[in-house]
Amino acid sequence: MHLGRDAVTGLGVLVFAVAYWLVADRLQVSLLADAVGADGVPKVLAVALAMLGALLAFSGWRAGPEPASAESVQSGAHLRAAGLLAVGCAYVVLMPIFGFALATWILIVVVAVYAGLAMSRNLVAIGAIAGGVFWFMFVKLLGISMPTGMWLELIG
Amino acid sequence: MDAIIIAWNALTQGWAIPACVFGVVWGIFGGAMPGISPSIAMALLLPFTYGMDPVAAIVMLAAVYVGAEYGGSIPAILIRTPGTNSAAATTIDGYEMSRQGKAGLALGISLACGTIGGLFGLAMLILMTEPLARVALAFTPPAYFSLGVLGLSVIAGLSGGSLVKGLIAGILGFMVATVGTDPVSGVPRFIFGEADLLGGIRPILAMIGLFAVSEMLVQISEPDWVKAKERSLRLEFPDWTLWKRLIPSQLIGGTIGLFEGLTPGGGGTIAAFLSYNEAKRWSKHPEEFGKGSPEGVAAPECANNVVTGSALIPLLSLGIPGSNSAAILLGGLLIHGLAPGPMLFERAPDVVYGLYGGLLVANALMFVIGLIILPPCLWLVNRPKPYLIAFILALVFAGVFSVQQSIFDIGLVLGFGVAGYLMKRLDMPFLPMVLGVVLGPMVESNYRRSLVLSDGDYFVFLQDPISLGLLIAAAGLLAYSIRRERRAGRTEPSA
Repeated sequence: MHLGRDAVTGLGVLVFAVAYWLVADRLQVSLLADAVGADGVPKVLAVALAMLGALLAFSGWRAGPEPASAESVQSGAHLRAAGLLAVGCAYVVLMPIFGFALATWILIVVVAVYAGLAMSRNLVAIGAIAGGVFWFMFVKLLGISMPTGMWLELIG
Repeated sequence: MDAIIIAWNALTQGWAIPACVFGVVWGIFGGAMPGISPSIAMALLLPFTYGMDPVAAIVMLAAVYVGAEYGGSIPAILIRTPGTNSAAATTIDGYEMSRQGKAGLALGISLACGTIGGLFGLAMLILMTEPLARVALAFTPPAYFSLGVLGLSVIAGLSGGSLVKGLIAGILGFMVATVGTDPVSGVPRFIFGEADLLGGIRPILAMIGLFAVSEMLVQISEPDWVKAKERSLRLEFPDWTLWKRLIPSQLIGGTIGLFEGLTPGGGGTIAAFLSYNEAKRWSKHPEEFGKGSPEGVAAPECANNVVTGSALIPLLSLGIPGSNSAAILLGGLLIHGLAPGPMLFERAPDVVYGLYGGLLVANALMFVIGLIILPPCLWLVNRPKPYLIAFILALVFAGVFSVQQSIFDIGLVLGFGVAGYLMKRLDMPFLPMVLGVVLGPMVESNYRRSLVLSDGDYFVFLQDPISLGLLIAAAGLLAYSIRRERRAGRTEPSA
């Protein structure tokens, strides 16, 4: 049986609501707790979400599935988005190692290439200038302490 | 007349005007950086005020506040990244206008309406401080709870055609707001052993992820790079016909901004969303909202700039800082041995009237500086898309990291970006989610405080007249939105 997008979303929301309720139910009870308790509002939210999820699933099931073509067009698009997300995750991992300025330089070059620009000296130079400008704005102008990176320590 | 002379002398003798210029520029720059809130931009300058003349110091901090509240709208319109919490509502129609090649006009409306709003807030600050301060004092925990509920009732109007999906998104946002330390008992909730979550999730992180990162994910996922319409590089202001159309939305923004600024905890974000919703409700073209309506830019921008003046009313008259930015300004006053309250007007009239004059100059300067910096901003967003995506991501990550110097926050923003991407693909509106994240803590903590104070009596919310009035307004708003959605549902199939 093929379910529509709304039906699947509604079921997903329902499952999430149940999981959220279970976590809320296991929250520690404090001696300072009020009558509502730390879990009171979360449990109300979970019940409301479950009801809405069920309603969405039911209306989606009644409406039936969407045409298959609409879904298949998007599969490649999701992969491209996932690729950009992977670049973002790599930035999170590499920034403490490379430092803010260098990591930002690499990020700009990699994202621009991923988004369709050809690798060129110009791009590398623009990335380097941008990394420097960002470093100047945040570290020098705003006085925010950004990671300097491990490579500086290695150099001594 | 004496007040004007005192203000003139305070501003012209010393460094108040240069400090004001610097404050506005710094504020616009800080506000335009994602993650740097007005209060952070002010706090960064606070240490420098120690050695300054009190008038120049206070004027500079207030000018930063004015500039930052406006500055947040620039990236909101151009790159769908709200620089500040209160600019989130501007993103809805501002960015749509930008996509339609009307970025110059959207920025012009934002600048003009922001300036008008700022001047209106200042006029209220000067003329109505004493009577309006009493309103701020009348707010009790039940009234704050009801204020939050009123804010949440806007969800129905922001649901984009599906009330069920809008409510789901709103509850998901509320659930995000429950992460962190419980506001009453101090029990950690939903942190899964992660110490970085103990303080909760900052709304700005959710907004940047949902608006900016999700937009980048959508943009890059387009198989063909659809070239954006040729955008105008010129800053445009509305013509007289459009101005006439914008007047009601500005009046709405001005009124809501005034009262939200007065209520501690209310602030520019709620004011902007409520104004947006009300402007849509009273507009002759409600169908244009969400699709690039100029009124959808004018109302929130006017409202959040009114707050820069009205939020100072409880601070100056009662010594109550109603927002983080007002608290920083309070810090600035205390550094110079000035205790806010009724006596401040007698003890340091030069500071009070100098502040009024400084705010006037700051609003005028905001307009002039806007005229200078907006054309280069327009040029920047017209660069090739790959560069734009790369620079926006770098700016977003740097801005997010700068909030708490936390790599974990960048991971959170990426997570919200994925959530926003999925919600967009599932036709689920994420504005209600933003409202849930912003208003959740206010609603929950005041709900529970009210019950503690009343020994669990739920009628406490109906006994307080302000609370009752706000709840009735919320119910009315909700009923109206549901009725409108049903009507739209009935007319759509036949159209």
